[in-house]
Amino acid sequence: MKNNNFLSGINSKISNFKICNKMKLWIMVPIIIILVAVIVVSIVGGTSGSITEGLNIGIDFEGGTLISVKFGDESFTSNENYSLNVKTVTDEIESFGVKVSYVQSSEASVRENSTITFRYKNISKDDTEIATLNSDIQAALKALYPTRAEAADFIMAESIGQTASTELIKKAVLALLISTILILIYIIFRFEAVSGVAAILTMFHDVIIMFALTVICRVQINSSFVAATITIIAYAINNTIIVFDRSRELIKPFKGNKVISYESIGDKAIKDTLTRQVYTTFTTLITVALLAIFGGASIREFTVPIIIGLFVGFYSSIFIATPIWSQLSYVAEGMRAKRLAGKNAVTYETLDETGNIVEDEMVEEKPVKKPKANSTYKYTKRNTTFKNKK
Amino acid sequence: MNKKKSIVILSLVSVIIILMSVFALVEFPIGLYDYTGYAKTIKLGLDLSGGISAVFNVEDDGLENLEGRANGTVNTLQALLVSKGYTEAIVSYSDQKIRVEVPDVDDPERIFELIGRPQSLEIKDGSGDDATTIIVGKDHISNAYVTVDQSNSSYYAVGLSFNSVGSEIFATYTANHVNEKLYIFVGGELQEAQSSGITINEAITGGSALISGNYTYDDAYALATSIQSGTFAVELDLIESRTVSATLGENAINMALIAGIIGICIIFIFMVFAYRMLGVAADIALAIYIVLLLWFCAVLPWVQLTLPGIAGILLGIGMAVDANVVIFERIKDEFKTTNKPIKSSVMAGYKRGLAAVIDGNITTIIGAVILWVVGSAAISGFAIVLFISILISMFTALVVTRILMNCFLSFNSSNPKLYNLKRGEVK
Repeated sequence: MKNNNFLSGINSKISNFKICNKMKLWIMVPIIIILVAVIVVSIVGGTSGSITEGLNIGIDFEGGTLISVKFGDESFTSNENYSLNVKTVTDEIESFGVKVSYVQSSEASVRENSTITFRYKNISKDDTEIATLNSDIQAALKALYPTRAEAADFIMAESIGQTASTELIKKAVLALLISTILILIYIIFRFEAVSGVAAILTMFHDVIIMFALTVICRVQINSSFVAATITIIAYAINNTIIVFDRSRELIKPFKGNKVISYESIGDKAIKDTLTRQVYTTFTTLITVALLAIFGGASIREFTVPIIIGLFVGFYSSIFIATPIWSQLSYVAEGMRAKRLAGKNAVTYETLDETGNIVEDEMVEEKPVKKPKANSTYKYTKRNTTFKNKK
Repeated sequence: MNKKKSIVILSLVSVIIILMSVFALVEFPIGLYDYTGYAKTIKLGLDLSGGISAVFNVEDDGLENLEGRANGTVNTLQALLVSKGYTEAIVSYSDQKIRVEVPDVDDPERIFELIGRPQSLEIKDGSGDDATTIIVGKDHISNAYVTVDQSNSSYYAVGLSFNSVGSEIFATYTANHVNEKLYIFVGGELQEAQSSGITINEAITGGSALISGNYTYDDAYALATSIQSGTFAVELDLIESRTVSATLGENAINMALIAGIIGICIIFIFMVFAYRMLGVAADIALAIYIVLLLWFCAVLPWVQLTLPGIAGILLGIGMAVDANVVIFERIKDEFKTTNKPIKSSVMAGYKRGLAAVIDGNITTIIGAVILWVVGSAAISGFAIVLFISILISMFTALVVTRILMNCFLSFNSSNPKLYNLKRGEVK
């Protein structure tokens, strides 16, 4: 059982490892990723002079036209031949007053089907004008290569006007908002408010980091990316829920206790569910990764964001969701205590005297303290309460 | 469950899997008809079958009943495409947009000639700007077609059929204006072939007319189709168009198949490795999941497999395994931390893992449904597949695996090694 030995090795290491109280450390990873993304965008955007270029926004969102010209074998035989063809076509397209912003070649498994794709932004806001311009350009290209133009699908075109692209963005944002709200309601209903908020914060983290990593990997941001994002939101929340489900179960015996170490409960929940997280991420990853390896460029546009998202979801369910949950639980408990204290202001003075280190602004507000950093609370199977094992 | 019953269930399950997989692929004749494997009848989206798609904005011209006229145009368009041989074409209308999808097109240009550049047809009594319009294409003409030029059979002409209003106006006008000239404007421009006008020889009462001008077949075809599309009751603006080569889609499907088969094999081996007999149960359930998913995709009318849809299936496989992993980990935990025998551990594992599996899957379902409803065509294709696969995976993981587990346990429920279970620190 290679797998099991390997994992149990990790498991034993992790059992002594605290995750929930090192939130600042874990949050550094997404922050660094975002910073790198910003740098990449500003470098690429700076050199090409447009921010959409920097973000690599696809024509779905920007509005524009993609023309794929099937050159087949001949243009891939030598570099000179290739660049000559690219230059001829680019010049021809640009003679119509548009600017070619992107050229990509894709070699098909059948060389005869290899294409070069040219992308240019629409220069007009009027959809009819765009359509006319595009058909003119295509006709001109066919005239340029009269022999090849006879082949079936010599030119494949994809054109999206202003109206279509704004609509796509509207729909994507709408889908995102509605699903966020409904998922939040469901989690609050099945768990509690703290878990709901933590899950949604994790979801936003996933979306932002997925976006950042996709930009860093220079994969196009288009409608496939939107589909991938929403898939990952729906999928990654599974991971979070598995951990929260364990916390929900672990916390049951302690309901009503005055001092609950949410951190050790979180750590225990993470440890208990780690095998599942690794196995599931692996089995999901394997098929998607194979598809990305075997599939062509258009499949990769969709699978690469999903692969990124799977890793992000794995990371966030352990290092983001659970620490947020444990920290927020203290805040929530503090608020509950405050409310109680308002009604019956006796109990919490004594608590303030027992153990108090004031280390961050959240702590000041709440009467119930976090356990001290140097005292460890160990959850054992035999005891149903936490013992201070100083 | 006793052994006999288990053997019956296990053989039944294997027969179902084998039959379902055979029926997915084979072809054979039944009487007059040919049965085609259901996996092959799954409808493919444009990106896989190749073809063209176009979205037109319906211009709001301020006149009444835009909705009704747009729907009328959808019918005209559909009929037009079918009459030209594109029987698989789909034309739909929503939100002031008309979407046209035509699969398996070899020559996309032809289609765009047909629908992409609708031309208005007008017949006027003069060639200048002050001429009066007599016939307007979208109000008075019902059809335009290519026919042989009767005066010179080596050329072609375009025939026009008027609707009842059109034929009446045309009959009255031609009766009153014999020997005068008519001018034909297509797309606002005077037809070159008849720039000097057509002389009316006699009253034309039959409800049809010919435009002859020594056209070649291609010219006549182009003119006829552009007049025909000019009969649309609304004005259309092309806002989105796509041409997808069929070879791209064919490649994509083959690649997805290879990736899927290899991936599934790896998952099968992995599950047996990690969970032994539990893993075998999960693998059989996964096989059922796959044949069921294929069958549902083929049978449900609103499923159209697209590129993202393939990814949805692959993701669904991952999720189907996930439900099993969650429960198996629970069973292992249960066995490790209590003194329970294997059977009770399995029962308890299912009971305790259920909440997590259901909660996780419902959030995914919420996402899928929202995508289905709100998303654009390509995205909702993916969402439907995801939605179906989650429902099936919940069924296979919670019901099928459990039945299979009980069968295995009826053969041997005393050897924990068989299920890769270990005793640990007992509570």
